Amino acid sequence: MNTYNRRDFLTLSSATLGMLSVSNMTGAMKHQARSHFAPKAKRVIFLNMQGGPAAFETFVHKKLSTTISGKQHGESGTWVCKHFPYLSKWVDKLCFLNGMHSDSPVHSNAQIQLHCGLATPSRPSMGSWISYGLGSENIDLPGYIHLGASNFVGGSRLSSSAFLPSEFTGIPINSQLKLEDFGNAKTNFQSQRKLLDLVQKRNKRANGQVPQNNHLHGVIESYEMAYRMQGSLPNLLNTEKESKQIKDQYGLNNSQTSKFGKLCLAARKLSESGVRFVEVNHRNWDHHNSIQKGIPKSCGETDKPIAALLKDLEQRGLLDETIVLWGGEFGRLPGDKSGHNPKGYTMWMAGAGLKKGFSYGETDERGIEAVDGKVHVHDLHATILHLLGIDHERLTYSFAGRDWRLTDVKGNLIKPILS
Amino acid sequence: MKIIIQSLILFNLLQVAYGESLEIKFFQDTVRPILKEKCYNCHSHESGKSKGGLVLDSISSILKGGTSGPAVVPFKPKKSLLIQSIKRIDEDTAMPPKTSLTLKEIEVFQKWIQEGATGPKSELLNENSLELKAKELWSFKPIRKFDQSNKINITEAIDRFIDVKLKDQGLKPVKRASPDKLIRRVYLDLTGILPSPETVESFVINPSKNKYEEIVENLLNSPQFGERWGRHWLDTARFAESNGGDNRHLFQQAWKYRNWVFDAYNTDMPYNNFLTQQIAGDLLPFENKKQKARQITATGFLTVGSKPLAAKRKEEQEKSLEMLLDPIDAVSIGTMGLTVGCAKCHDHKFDPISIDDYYAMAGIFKSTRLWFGPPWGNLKSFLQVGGFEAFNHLYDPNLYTLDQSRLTQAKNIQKQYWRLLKVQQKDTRSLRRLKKKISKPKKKLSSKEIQQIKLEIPKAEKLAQVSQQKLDIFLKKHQQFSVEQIMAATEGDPQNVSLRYGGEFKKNGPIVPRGYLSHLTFNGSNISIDKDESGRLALAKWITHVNNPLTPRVAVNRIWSQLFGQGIVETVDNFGFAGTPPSHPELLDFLAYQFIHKLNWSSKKLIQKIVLSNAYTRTAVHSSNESQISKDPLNVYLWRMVPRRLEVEIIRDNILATAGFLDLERPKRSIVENFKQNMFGTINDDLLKKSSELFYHNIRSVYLPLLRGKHYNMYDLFDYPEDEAVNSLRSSSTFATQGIFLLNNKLLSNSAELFAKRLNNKPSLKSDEDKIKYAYLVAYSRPPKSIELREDLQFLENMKNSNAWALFCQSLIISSEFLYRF
Repeated sequence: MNTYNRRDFLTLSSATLGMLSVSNMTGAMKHQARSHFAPKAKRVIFLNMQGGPAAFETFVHKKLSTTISGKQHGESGTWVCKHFPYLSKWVDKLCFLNGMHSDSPVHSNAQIQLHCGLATPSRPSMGSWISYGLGSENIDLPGYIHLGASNFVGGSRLSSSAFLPSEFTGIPINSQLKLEDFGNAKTNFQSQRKLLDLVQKRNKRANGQVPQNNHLHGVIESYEMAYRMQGSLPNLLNTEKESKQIKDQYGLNNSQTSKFGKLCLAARKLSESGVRFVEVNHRNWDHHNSIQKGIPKSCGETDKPIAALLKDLEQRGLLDETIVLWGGEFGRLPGDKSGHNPKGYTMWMAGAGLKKGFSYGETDERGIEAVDGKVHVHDLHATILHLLGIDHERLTYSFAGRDWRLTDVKGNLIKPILS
Repeated sequence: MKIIIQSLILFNLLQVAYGESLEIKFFQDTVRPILKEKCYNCHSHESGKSKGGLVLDSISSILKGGTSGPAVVPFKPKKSLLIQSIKRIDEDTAMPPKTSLTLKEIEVFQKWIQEGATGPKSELLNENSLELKAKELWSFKPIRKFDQSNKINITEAIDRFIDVKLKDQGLKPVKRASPDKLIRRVYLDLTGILPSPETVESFVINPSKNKYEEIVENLLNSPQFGERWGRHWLDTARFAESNGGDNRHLFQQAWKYRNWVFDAYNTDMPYNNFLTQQIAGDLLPFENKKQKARQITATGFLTVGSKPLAAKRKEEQEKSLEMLLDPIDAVSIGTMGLTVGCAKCHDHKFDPISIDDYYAMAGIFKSTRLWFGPPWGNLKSFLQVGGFEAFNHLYDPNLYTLDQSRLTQAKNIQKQYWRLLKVQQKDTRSLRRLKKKISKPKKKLSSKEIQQIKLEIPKAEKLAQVSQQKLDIFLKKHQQFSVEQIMAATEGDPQNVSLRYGGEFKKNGPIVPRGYLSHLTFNGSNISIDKDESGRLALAKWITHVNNPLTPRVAVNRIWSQLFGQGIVETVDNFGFAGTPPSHPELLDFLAYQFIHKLNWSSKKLIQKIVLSNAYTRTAVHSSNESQISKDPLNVYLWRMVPRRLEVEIIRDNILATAGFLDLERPKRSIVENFKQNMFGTINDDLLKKSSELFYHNIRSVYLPLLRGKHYNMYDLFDYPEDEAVNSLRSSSTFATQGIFLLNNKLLSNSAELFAKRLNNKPSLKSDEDKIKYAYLVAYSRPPKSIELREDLQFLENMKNSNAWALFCQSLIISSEFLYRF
């Protein structure tokens, strides 16, 4: 479906003993998974808390720094701030990474690192790497969808496939879940189908004139996919038709939670339908000088929807084969100004192949720097790929004269958190 | 795999080369592996670490030692610090810090030192010696020599080179493309615009070789040629009109460089001159001011790249060093296909480029000032921020002349402004100080004192107000004063920079004299750099030297790749070991040699010679030929032409062209100039809005504003290149959201409506059949086949609604025959 360079092509044809028929070939390319061992997880939902949540005001109690009250929950005794009443019931199923650290205190650079490993040159996002690595699970849908995307920080680079073939680009969908160019006012679906039939007749004729051209064949397939996607995606993004119970669960009936709730519900539907990597953005965690107001607000907007998502996934038997990742580009420093802190912060994961009710790593007593169980963003990436059955050192792509990886030349698997 | 094989060969060669002395062999086989395993983590170039100032990866650096002195005294193990450390005699200096060496390993070192501590002299002790690599790399070898007399017909020679290989492979070339396909191909390749139905028809009637040559000649001389081929160079030049990344700094004058590139292609500027001007145009002699201004504009090449401007927290010095990566990469990859930037932290992993080479080139650009436009949007901030020397390059874009009087005027305005600003600042400060005395008193004030201050405040307020007013009036008065600037490079303070181990600013190594690639030597490569010069002009001379084996090879290969869809060297931007070797090495050298010696570096002439060849004119449409396809599925040997997707700009332009709506005029300036700078955060919303409006206008795509990292949706969908690095050949991917765009975006539906109107308004088109035939000629440069005609009439019949014709037209411009070049 996309351009594979000479070397890829030769590898492919030698692996399949000679030439494949055109349709087989494009099919093989489309679904070719590049996994290296049996996966624990099939997909990822990434809850991106843009702005940088303060670890010690959410999930980690630091005597010297925590200002918002909370208490211990569950058998694991995990401390959770009082503004996460729903999520606190889930602590025994979560796996906390309390020794996270990364390299940049600037929002955009840190977001880019969280997504792409490094900032320069433009690199593919982990969602692109993952859909490239795992192949498609549903031919009607793209492998990577980015919900609530904004150009706030990092912009389109966060879901960019960079030098990977562009079919692995994250499809950005804004927080109103409105799709661009999906359908148009001038043509109804029947007319469009007729138009498309005419186009496809031409495309097939053009393809027939040129032996063995997978590009021209790809055009035919991509149009059908476009037409199917036009049918499938709007439905998946439409949360109106869900049952009242589900709507209530995600907080769609409440102005505080409805916006993020819709995104979480859509994320579950997309995930369930086979989208490998769904990212959900919440961009209000940049709480300078206003942590006392900001934390209740941001927690309030996300608490119920996230708990609902976990519950929904669990009830559908999906949680065991999904990785849910929560966190932002960095944490915050203690004190009035609560500045950016990439040296020590918290993220959590839940789902496939992970220990439950487990906390790994910690920061110093004020929550400034990770001192134990340190996990760099590269390590996080390596571990996510591992859970998906991919060796991060072997998932490579050749571009501009070298082989590139999501983890660059870094990244260590965090074994202690694996179940 | 190729890489692995190559390095194995190198390794073997090395064994032989160094295998002469037993001592060296002992070192290589026994000592070095221990050093590598136990010590290099902290003491080697590869790791980028030199703890205690000590690196252990060359004999000379071992003998030199670190901060505590020489690590090894030859023949004297007991006096050698290295032995004392590994024997852990003193706990403070015991090495390696965590795990001890075994007794056996210690004995190895003792024996080695006892026998004189010998090893290979010149190189770092890697498997891959750079000297050997330089000898091995095909692209470093001199270009073969060829007959350059008048007897040589370059076009015929091209075919001979290709035919020989085809014969070797047992492949038969397919026939020549049909006249309609050929004229469409050559129009798209040379100008990016479809031929008119009339042009096609007249060629189909008389498709002689002479007529074809005449068409080629005309296309090469049309202004659209420069836009088409200049745009290819802009991909190489990582062109954009904003910085991108975290910093949304607009490059408001980048369009001037863009136009310069187009003009250079239209005037067929010799390629060596083309490169020299872009690297050192400001240093070239000139006959008049107009020429001077043009040459300075060319240096925009060095400045239009993306820079790490947002790394605010870093020290200026560190930042200024990091800024050099972009011009180094642009120059080295852009002209020679060598990734010198990879040697920023360590010797290049594959290629004969040392870390010293990187810092030698870094010195050249550190000695250069890169003007990428001021971070200001209005006169006030412009005057405040300074960057005043940019004024030196004020010029009138219409006349291309430097305007000395405006420069003087600007300098005066700034002087006056600063005077007023200082007064205003002083007044405001004293007012603030007074107010603070009361609001936040440092000591307790008596009521009398407070009274006194309160009396002073109104006076101070008045003063501050007046000086502010003066400033405002001044700014208002000069608001209309605009300054014409360009993005350019000029000479800075000539200086050398010191090597940075691991690319880390604080890990200083020795100072490296300014220079080029030390392992790329050729007859005449010894071009010295004067101590008072940055060295850019010398660098340009070195790059464009007739004996530089890379520059012409890279140039002709790029031209070839645009015409055939693939280069003779597939990796058009990488001529190193990680790239692919040429499929037709003799042909590549022949083209490179004749490009310099016979065609006098003329890109136009070379393009002409190639498009007249049989190889170029082969058909892409042919019956299935299983055996040939399985022998050469990717058409490496050029027995046929392979269809390829058009670039996004060309697709958009021709969509507009079929609508009869495309404007071929060059716009006067770029709208990017008219918008305020936002240093951080998002790009100015109005600019985004305005540029997306322009996208739906009739402006040629090459003149649309190009904001780095903020491409038009269509550009992102249709493989517009990553503009943060050199990217000379577009990729072409196919995926569903392209289809969604083509089915629904208003660019398509609006254009299709206009296309339909065009058909309906043409009086000569009487019947539906006439219209369909004409539409095919417009969109596909050919009449419809009878089956197509039937299908289309059937479609129009079925639709039976008002926009049936528009939908029919849309179906033409979203089908692969329109989107691909056959």
